[in-house]
Amino acid sequence: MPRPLSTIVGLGHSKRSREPIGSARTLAADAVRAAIADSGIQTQDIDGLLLNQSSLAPVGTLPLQLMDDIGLKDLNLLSLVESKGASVLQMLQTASFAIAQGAASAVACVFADAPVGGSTTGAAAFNNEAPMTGIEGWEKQYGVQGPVMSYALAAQRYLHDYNLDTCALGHYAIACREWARLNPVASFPDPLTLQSYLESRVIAEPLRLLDCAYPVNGGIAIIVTRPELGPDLRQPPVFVHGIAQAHVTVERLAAKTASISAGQLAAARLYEQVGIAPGNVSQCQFYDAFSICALLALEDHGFCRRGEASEMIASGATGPQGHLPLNTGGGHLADAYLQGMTPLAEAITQARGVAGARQRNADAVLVNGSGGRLEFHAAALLSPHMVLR
Amino acid sequence: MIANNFTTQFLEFIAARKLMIARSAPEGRALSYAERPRENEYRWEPACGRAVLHSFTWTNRPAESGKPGRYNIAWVELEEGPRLISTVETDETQVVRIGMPLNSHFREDGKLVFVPAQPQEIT
Repeated sequence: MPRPLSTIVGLGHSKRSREPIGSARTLAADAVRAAIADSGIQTQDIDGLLLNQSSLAPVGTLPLQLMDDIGLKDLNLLSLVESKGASVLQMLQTASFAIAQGAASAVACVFADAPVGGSTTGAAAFNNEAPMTGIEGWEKQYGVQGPVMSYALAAQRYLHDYNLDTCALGHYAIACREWARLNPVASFPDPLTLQSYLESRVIAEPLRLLDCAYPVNGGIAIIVTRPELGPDLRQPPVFVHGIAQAHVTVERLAAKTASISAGQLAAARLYEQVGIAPGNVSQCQFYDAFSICALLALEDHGFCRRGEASEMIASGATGPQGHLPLNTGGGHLADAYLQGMTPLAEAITQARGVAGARQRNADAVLVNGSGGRLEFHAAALLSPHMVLR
Repeated sequence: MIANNFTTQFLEFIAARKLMIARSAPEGRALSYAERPRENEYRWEPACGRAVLHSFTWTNRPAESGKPGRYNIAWVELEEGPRLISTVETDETQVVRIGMPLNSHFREDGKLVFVPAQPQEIT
């Protein structure tokens, strides 16, 4: 078994709210300071900083000068990372590679966003162009705005292919609430019934409001360092055993092809890299901007066959009593949408063993990130153990 | 996404109310509109106009758009293979469903839409 790539030794959160609480830049700085304090590493010993802003935020929302805001000096690594929903795991991979090569020794990675509040609704904040055809500006003339419509098209096709109805998506939204009930900071800790789900507003058929991520203003940062330093620091170490990316371009959507999904590719690469199989995974933290993402991720990562994810979720297998806990904080639907940092932060919390009532076996935590029209993917495996059990 | 000659040419055909597909040269494979072939590696030809509905969604225009109302977004697969985002125009008796046969149609305003194929048109 190869040694871990790196160790996550710090996790920091800014304030989080649906109301205006400051710029993304301010929230990012707050999150990094909190992560540094959490790690016990001195600020002057941080020699790398990686930034990920929402791809929908204006260019420069998180500028490189964030290093000055935090008081970082003489960095060995500084960069903005962008690959839609895969970005956060790309930051973790970049930091891990730099550390493994000796190019940096302690790297802060941060995501922050301030999309909602005042007169801006979540829908308005995520109303970007959604290319699927491959022709610039084509989709807009047909009223395709924002990611929800392209994911609705994918969800509709999925339900059709496997002869399912919209309850198949509802089971996942319900499971998220079951986990959120155990998370004291979750946005939606109240139970959800199938009836309530079916009565919620349709945004883009078959996706309802309760199938969609819940955007908030906030930031989350982590500190990554060498595996051997982890045990000597303040927090229980979380070892990064592998990270894989896979990106298949929008061409896959633009014609009938037999190619496998980016999610399947990233999963296969991760399993090969780490030397494990789906049966070795203790729990999953998936990027679930929409309910359909979690179903597809379960299938892409080999936990069930195509079309069976909903049945698996409805059986309780991924819930608080199940054998494969999934999105234990409530995920993007019931906790909050801080893009790739929501699943990664929950994975770290679980691997540290400090998740309280929702703590479950976290020997091998699978995290993924997906974005665009599901053409961009990354997956990582975390563990509290330096050698996987 | 950067427009190149390939997409510019496609959009010029659309402006002239022609739905075209590109085939690779010399194999003749139908290219998706997301591909970026070199200038001398493809040729255009008229699409047959037949298609099937790959997926669709119904949604609502917001009131602030000035044109509130329900509309569909269609993910259409041309008979030749490439897929396009468009809309399916139906009368009140027609139900939009995945797999339904469609025909391309240019509206008076020049917009490319798809309409359900009539039974006698389905081969």
